Amino acid sequence: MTSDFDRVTGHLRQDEIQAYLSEKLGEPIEVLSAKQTYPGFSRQTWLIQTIVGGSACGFALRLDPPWGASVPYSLEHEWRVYETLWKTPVPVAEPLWYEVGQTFADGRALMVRRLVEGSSTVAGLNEVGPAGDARRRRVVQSHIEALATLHSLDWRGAGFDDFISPPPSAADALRFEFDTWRALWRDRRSEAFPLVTEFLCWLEECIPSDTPFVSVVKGNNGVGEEIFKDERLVAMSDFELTSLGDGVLDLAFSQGTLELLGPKETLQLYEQAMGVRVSPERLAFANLWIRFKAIANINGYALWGMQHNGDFRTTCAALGIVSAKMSIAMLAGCIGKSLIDADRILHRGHSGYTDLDG
Amino acid sequence: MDTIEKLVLPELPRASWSSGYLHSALVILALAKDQVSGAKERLLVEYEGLSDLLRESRDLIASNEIKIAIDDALHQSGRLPPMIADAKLQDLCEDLSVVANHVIEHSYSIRDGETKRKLLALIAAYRATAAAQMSNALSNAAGRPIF
Repeated sequence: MTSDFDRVTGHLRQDEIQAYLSEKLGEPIEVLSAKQTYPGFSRQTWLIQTIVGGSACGFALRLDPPWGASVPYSLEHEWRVYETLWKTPVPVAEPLWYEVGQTFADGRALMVRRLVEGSSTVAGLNEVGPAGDARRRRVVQSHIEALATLHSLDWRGAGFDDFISPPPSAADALRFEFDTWRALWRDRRSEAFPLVTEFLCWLEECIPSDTPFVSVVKGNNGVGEEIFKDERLVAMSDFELTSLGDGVLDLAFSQGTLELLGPKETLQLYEQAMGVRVSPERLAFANLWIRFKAIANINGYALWGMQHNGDFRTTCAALGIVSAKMSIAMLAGCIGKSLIDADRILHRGHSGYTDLDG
Repeated sequence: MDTIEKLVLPELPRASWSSGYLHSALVILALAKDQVSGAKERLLVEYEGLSDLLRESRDLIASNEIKIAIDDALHQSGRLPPMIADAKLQDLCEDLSVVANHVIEHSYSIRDGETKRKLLALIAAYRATAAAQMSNALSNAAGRPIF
């Protein structure tokens, strides 16, 4: 029987999962282990090892938490991304089913996909020395290849525009992204935040229009999100922020992964893989924009969940209040500068991409 | 403060699940404690900055709708009572912030270069104070959390 604690936290017991999977698969299965992933900030994920018909079989179960997802897009949106990508060369785990309103897990929206052998972390990634250097190079190269495959995808042919609104043109891609997220921010911010308002007013005057073509944009990506095996990316994973727009946003949202190799070499690899140059202005805009987008998510969605929907995680307050305000203070220092100078300010003390010239 | 502790303490047993949760809990607890002691001072700075911005920008604003909103907000806030409660001060800051957003958006949309320059200078003065205050308050509050 589900306890109050489990109901509030969305925790699932192994026997519940076993009963659910047995019913769905139409045969008794044995769950050997069911482990919830950390941090699982946007949604909850269980990695499940089972025996089905005498053979080992792994599943990943992804659900909206009881308080709802900490991102603006629905789980159905994410499911459709998996379903669509599964038919393309982009590496993803096989999606199995999506449902909502079932008895299991209080009817929360859920999806199940096959478990891909590998891990979202890479052992020895920070090791100092030649072996670590070589490992980082393999990881970044593999990640860039996967991003380039995603960004080069014929998204119309694949059917992405059946469920994601595309920007009107490539030149409008960043403007479209800007308008979409500014509207979400206005709707969900916890305070009026005049500093963010000015940041957006200033940034709006600098939106680049040299996006060469519209791509599927993964959203947050990199180590911690994708599945790696033998230091190669074997499956892209967690598409909670996937949209259609300028792929350069993914370079800025790799959560440090692409900086493992150094910005200049990483950018060269990406440009070679894509066959087009990334202008410094586009990249600078993306770096600044992703900082805002993170604020919109942690304040407008994570903190919102805590304030309005019963999300009990103190992480939401730490991120939605502390980290958001630290980032806002940083963005305020960028206002009025050129995009390139603003990005340098943002990355002061770090290996920023726009220090490429020098 | 009590509310924050009620939120944090039940979560601590789950900290064994990951040290990240424990870290988050401790950071927010430290922040909450600091906010109790320093919140009013920070809100006062915010209040003064926003009031100055609205008062000084009023005559440069072309939109009657925004002028009225400024007048209403300043009238509502009135003279700051010496013993104002934190919650009331927070409400006043929120009201002033909403109107400041209109002023900022309007200022950036102005085509007249000279008026726009003057308004952006006023906004920049507010921004510099507010950003510095926010930065100082947070770095003093909880060290440098690594989220």
